[in-house]
Amino acid sequence: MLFVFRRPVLSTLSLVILLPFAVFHASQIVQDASVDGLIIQDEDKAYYDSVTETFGDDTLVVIMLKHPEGIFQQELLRSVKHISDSVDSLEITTHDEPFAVATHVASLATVNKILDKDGALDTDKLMDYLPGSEDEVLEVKADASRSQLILGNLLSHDLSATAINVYLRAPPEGAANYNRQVTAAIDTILEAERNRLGDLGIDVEIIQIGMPVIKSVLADSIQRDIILLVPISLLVILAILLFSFRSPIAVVIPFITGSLSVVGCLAFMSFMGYTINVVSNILPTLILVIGCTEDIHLLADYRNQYRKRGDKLTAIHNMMLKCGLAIFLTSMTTALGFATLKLNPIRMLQEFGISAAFGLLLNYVITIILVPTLLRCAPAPKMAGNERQSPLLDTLADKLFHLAVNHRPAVFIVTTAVVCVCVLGCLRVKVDADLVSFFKEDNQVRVKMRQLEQNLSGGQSFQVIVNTEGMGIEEGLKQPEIMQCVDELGEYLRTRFDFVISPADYIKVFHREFNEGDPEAYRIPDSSMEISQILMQLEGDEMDRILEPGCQNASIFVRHHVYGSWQMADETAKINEAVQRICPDGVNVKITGESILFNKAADTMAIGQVTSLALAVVIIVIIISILFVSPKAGLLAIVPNAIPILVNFGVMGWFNIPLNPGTCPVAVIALGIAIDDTIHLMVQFYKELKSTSDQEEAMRRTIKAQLLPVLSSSVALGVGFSVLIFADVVSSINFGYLTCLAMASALISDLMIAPGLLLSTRLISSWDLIKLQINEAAVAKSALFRDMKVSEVKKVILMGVLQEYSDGDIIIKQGSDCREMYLILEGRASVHFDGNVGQDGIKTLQKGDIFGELAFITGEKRSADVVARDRVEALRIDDGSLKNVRNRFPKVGAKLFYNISAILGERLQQTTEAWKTQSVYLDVE
Amino acid sequence: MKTFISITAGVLMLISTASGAEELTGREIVDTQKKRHELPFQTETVQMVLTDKKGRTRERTMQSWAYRQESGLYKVMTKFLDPADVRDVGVLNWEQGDDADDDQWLYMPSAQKVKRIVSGAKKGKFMGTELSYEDLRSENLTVHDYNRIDDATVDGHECYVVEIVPSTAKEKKESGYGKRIAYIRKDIFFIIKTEYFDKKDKHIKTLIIESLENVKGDVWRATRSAITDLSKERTTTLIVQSRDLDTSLTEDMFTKRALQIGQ
Repeated sequence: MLFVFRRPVLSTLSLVILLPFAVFHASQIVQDASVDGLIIQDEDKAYYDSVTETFGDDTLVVIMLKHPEGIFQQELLRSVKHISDSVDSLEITTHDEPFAVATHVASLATVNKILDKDGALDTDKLMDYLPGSEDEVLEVKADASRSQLILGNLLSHDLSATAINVYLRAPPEGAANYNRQVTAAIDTILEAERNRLGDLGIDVEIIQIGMPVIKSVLADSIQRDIILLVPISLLVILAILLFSFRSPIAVVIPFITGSLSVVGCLAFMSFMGYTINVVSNILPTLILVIGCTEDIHLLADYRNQYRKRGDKLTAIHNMMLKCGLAIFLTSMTTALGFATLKLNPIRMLQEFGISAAFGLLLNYVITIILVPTLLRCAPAPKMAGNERQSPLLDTLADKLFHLAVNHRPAVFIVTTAVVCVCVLGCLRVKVDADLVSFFKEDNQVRVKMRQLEQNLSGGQSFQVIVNTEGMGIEEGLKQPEIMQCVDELGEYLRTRFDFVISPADYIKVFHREFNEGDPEAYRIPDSSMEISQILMQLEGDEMDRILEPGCQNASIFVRHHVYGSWQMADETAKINEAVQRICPDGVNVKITGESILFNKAADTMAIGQVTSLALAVVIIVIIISILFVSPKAGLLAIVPNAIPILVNFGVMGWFNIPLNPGTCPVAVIALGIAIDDTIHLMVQFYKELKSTSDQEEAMRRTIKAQLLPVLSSSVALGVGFSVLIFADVVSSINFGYLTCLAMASALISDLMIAPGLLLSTRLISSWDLIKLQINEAAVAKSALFRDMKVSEVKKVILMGVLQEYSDGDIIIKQGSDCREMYLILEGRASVHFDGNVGQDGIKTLQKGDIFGELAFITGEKRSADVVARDRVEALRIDDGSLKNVRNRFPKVGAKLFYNISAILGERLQQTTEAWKTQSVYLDVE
Repeated sequence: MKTFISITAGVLMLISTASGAEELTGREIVDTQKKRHELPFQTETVQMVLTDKKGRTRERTMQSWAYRQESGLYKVMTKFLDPADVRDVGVLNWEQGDDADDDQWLYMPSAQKVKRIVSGAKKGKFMGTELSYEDLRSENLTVHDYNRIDDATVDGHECYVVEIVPSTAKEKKESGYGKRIAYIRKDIFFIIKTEYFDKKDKHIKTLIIESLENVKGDVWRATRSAITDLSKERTTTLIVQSRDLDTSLTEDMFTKRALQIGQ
């Protein structure tokens, strides 16, 4: 880190050189509104693909025409035909090639009827040609309203609305704009028809809805959110910084580091082939917001250092030294938190996790390079000679300290209550991956979906596939009992969903109409031969979509308006129960469809969430345990951080906010950010402990020192994320609320719960363990450390308190009663007898030397003076330290106490010897 | 649910000779080919192979009997032989001529019942094949215009090329095609290829006669033909297994009762 301080130009230049590449790649990033990244590529997806291969693509666009006076008007039917024909032959251009869009168009203009008319069976098209007279219109109307294969699907029961169902081909490889192109092309067709009817004075409502529409509207919303909200969140953060630091440089620095990090992150995503999608669209805001917290901590410390030293360069140098460890750790833990999303089986979340982790690490690098450099160039902060922290903050810090330390039981009770409520809430959390849930209630997509389901059938669909291969007979579906089972399943589904169609329906209708419309004949025929013969009459495009030619697979196609993966999961469970009841052995029934795959994605997302969080927690516990050489410290650190996560899920549960790809990352973000505050707090506390042996005093100072940066970073984060509340995409809005809440609960938990917990342990840092150099010869000579390894000696030593002495200060005074021993970390000291401190000492002590251990053990008076010979930094080890060693490192404690006993034993023996000698002498006398 | 005169002849029969061929109009060419290949009766056994774009096939075999009435209009009966579960399913068609709809009946042996079927539509597909009912009817010269266009060579054969366009209001309304282009071999006046265009002039289907035989005098018949739906990439191949042009057929063989009890 000091390299950056010493070579500012080189470091900055390296960034500047990379910038054009980054900008180029960032500008190439693709926006993707598809949700394919949500679907897991597994056997269920492969099954779905095989089903669409067999029965045709099931991506559905519904065009609805509605007229209050009914749809059976000559010009409206003409429109249905025009639209059907135009969409059927619609081509868009991708990769400079024409691409036919529709695989099948079902409308009043294309559908067949199956009707007995005056004793003759009519299986022709409902509208073989455009009705030319009022009589022909009436005939079509009569035919259509008699046909149950049309009603509810293509025609509303009140005959006022009709649908043109367009089944789309899957987009060609790399056609990112497919959905928009298709939606726009269909809109053009509809607009022409609207105008044509308008010219005739017919005011008809024509809407287009379906996956491509949903996806393209979503893409527009995402784009709008990014264009509008990223600059706003940036402005908000900068305003907070300006308010907190009252200095333009405090605004300029985070702006530069944040913007560069966003550009870098986008470049990385583009380079990796990732896209801006429903999840990753929050990344720019996220990086700006989280990234600025590092700047806040650095700038806060810079001001403190400058206040103390009055010199810009020293202040920058000290800031880097002091904050380097903390911001390195916080960046690492936050990035790791995001990186754990890689465990989530959903690709979209994996990419989000990796991109966020990369962006935050990049932000760390950019921050440590640019902040010192920019501070160098900037004028020194203006502050009144002896500027103090705001008295308000001091009072707040005192109050917080009082509450956290002196009212620990109350804090504990409140915390437990909150945790209990949240745990109950967690059990209510619903998982959801439904695309429609990304839209607000008043969004045009939702409005159109409602219009569609009110008039016809819901815009969602799935298929129940009945497979008879397990029966060991060919063309199993021609068996009456099997077709009967398809029929019963269909009838069951009809009780739960908007519209259901299966081959059984066609067979029953044909059978009835073949028998002059006899209602008794509305059933599956009794012989397989009759089924075969009927099926041959029904062959064609419509039948191919629900019955595979080999008669081994049938599809029961279901249209519905069940939104929310959890509701869909309930329905799927019920369907499976019905299947158990209805279907004989050997008949295999599977439910599939895009909505089913999303539902599954939701389940795995939830499992992935638990795994990610668990891993993040374990990693953080390990990092902190290693850092502070104490598993207890690691576990303590996780307690205040678990609370924001619980609050997050608790609120989601109680307020019915679903866990979806948008809200899924909140928990890891909460953990990642909360742990930042904890680490800052722990590092500060650890540093304070070096200068005072009074733990509570150290904590009081810690809270005072950290209140401003922790508070301002939390507020900046909270307010920065809260901008997302104004997003268009619901998941982003929920993300905004939840992250705000997470920031608030992390702040409260870190300032009120963490201090109480930290007071119960004494921190040492593994950093110091490595850095600490002791004079091994001196240690070897010391009886106190007999048979102890260097690392064990270090642990004992690091339990001490850091003391600083200036040249000439007396560290130990001969004859005094104090019982501490010391280790010199920096500087030199000399040993003198009888107060001759002005002269050369009898011995010079150097870095790594230990002194005063005898009095420490025996408690005898000091036998010499020890005087600092330049600036000395020494560790003082006292009784309290010993207790800590015993508690924290029992093995080391045992050795230490054994050695102390041995020293005491030797001492006793020496005393006894002396006493004996004295006795002999007396006897002789 | 309609049937056809001879499913293998593409577009059918006629006698008469043509003179001054090079000056022939489109209508004359089609009229000549129709008359040259027409016979009073015929019996055929045909295998149909339906191939979808994934290469999956379904096979069926059927037998058809055609009888020319004194009016020149045909009565045709078709019965399935194979697969077993559709054996004896039959369709009877009485041509009505001009713009009138044919009379048609369907027989389903499993229900032991003959049912009259409505036969207004021409665009509907015949039993899941790529053939629509209008492809199977004999060429109706009164409802089309025949425009001769530039000659072409198909598979090494010199051909007249005739553009066939619906001419009456009813035909324009009911036909699925905006036009057809027929390639007629000059040497034998036999259609060996037809291209079908929709009403937006998009080429949608092609019929190709893959092999043909001289059955009697100037009369030729296809032995193997294939019709392909270009957008759905599905093909129906018709392979003639046997053909009998000599055995006399009588009109009483083409009744509803005959449809039910068999020939």
